[in-house]
Amino acid sequence: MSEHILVCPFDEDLIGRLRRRAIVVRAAKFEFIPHINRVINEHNKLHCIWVIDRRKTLANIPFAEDWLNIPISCFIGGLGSIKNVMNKLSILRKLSIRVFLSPREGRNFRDLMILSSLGVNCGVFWGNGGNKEIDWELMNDLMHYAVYSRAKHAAIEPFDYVVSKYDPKRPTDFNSVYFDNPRRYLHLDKEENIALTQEDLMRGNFISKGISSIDSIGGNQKYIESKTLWQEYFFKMEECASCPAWRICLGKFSASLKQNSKCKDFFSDLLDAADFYRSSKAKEKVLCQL
Amino acid sequence: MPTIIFKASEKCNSNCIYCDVVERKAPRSMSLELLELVFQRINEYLENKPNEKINLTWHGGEPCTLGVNYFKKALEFQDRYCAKTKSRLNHSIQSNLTLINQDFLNVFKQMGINTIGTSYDPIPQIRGFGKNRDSDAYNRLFMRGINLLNENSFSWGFIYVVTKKALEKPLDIFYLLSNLKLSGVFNLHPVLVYENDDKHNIAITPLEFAEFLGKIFPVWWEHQDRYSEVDPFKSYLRNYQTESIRLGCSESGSCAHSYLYIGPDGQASHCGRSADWGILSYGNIKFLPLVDIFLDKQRDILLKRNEILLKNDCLDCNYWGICHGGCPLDSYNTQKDFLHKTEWCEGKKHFLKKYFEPITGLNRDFREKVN
Repeated sequence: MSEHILVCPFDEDLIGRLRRRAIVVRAAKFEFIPHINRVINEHNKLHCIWVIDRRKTLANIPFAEDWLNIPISCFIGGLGSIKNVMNKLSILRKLSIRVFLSPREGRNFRDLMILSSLGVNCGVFWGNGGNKEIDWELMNDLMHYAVYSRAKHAAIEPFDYVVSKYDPKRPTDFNSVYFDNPRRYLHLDKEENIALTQEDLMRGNFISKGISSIDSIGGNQKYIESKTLWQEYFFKMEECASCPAWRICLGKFSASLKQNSKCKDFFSDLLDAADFYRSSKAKEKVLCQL
Repeated sequence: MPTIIFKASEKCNSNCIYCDVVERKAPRSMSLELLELVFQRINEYLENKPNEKINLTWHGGEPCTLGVNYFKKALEFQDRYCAKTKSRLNHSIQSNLTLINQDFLNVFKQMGINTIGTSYDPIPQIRGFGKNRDSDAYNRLFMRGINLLNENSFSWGFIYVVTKKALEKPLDIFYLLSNLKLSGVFNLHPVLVYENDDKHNIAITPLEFAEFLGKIFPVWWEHQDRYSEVDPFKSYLRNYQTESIRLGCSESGSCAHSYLYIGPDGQASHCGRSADWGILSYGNIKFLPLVDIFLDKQRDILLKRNEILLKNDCLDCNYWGICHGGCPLDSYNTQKDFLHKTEWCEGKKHFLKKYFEPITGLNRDFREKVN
């Protein structure tokens, strides 16, 4: 059986046809969370509910006690009223939730820092589109806080993922944070079309069709080819291939590099942070087990 | 362990800018009859020297132009003629990987090969196919080769040949090569041009090479955990830090009786470079056993070279123990004899004195200890 986690919309017919799978459900509304959890866990295992609702702010999400222990990731429009967020903090901190905000609005960097300091796991979600509008200096400030600050705070993604998973001998793909890394996740729609990424699924770039094909995906030619797509950067002196931080970025912003090349400085600093984290872990004291 | 540089074919499917084999010679390949004799000669040598091993390095040209059946035949000859000695015969191979397929890898596995040496250059039209050096097509096949090696659990290392075109952006080149090879080894090596015949304007000076290394070394030094094992940095570091010094053929000062080249017509020479340049011809395996070829009198000058250099060019040189005056062939290239240090010595010293020693804080006296 393929070890891929499946990312799909919440469709009870589709879910009913899946058995013993780890599933990320894409949901449009927070209100469906308890129901989704019940249905998925009947014959499968819920990996996460991934809610994308840009109209919602953290302040107006109807958090409820029955969301406890349900893994949730959400990409929302912003924090909203900070007063309302503070009023919901006690329940928010009990939930297994990760809150993503867009890096294309400057105030979100401040808000992510606040959320993290309040003990709420959170992160930056790039989504589709280039890096043209991203303020990489603000991003760098946030990353420095996330990795180096000794003040107690919750993880901020994808920085936490990169520094904790980084292995100098392998590329690190932080798209796992967004359930969008084909080595770990496959995307499917109601018609059982299978794609390597969410964007491919939306665009109709399918690699196969049918739930039964998932288990043999390792032998699928398009899947095999996808494993070496990164090599396209190395056929000539591409800017991304000669970036010191390629190994943790993998060319994600190559399309908009001409408009904004500051990503290079940011990811170089993130790579330094990953090295720092790795070497500090190696230096940790090991006490004998009592 | 004696190393045989075995050029069973001079044919190559590529037209790399710094390789003049294709242009200078009509490429030849070794006949199966002669291949059979190679294994008879190897067996003869190993029987005569029961404590020795031989490293047979398949070189080219591009060895894979010989076709997979040629390697199967080699295995057959090995089994037939080296039945009792084959455990002391190691095969290795240098390939550009563009012709590699599963059949080749299956045979290589049977030959005990699990690592392949190769080269790579991202700069367009340095390595490539045809008159126009189609590097895009070349690099695609190269990557396909790498993928196949990875799927088959072969390891691979590569040499990056530093040409004039690379001098403009040492760090870009270094990052790209490091990104391509996140683990394992790669080697930065200056392009070698014979008799200053630099028709493609790619030659670099020893000082330029030293400066190229000098731009990269601080980055590599600061992030050693991050980057691959890059030579010459890793070797310098090891030789400065440990008692046992390990050197490549060109710096060892001891290649005199340990290297042998066998070409497609059975002609023997000292190494691939001497054969390419038409010097140090040691006869032909058709008429001479390997034991005799390894004792060829012409080799003595290479040993004597050490004594002469120590009294002349390299007198009191602090770096003698890790250099030995460099490759004798490089001496021949500029001086037309083997008895001088090479022009690359100055580059090496420059790099070590200006970059390596101040940055690492390491110092060591590599002078010969005279009793």
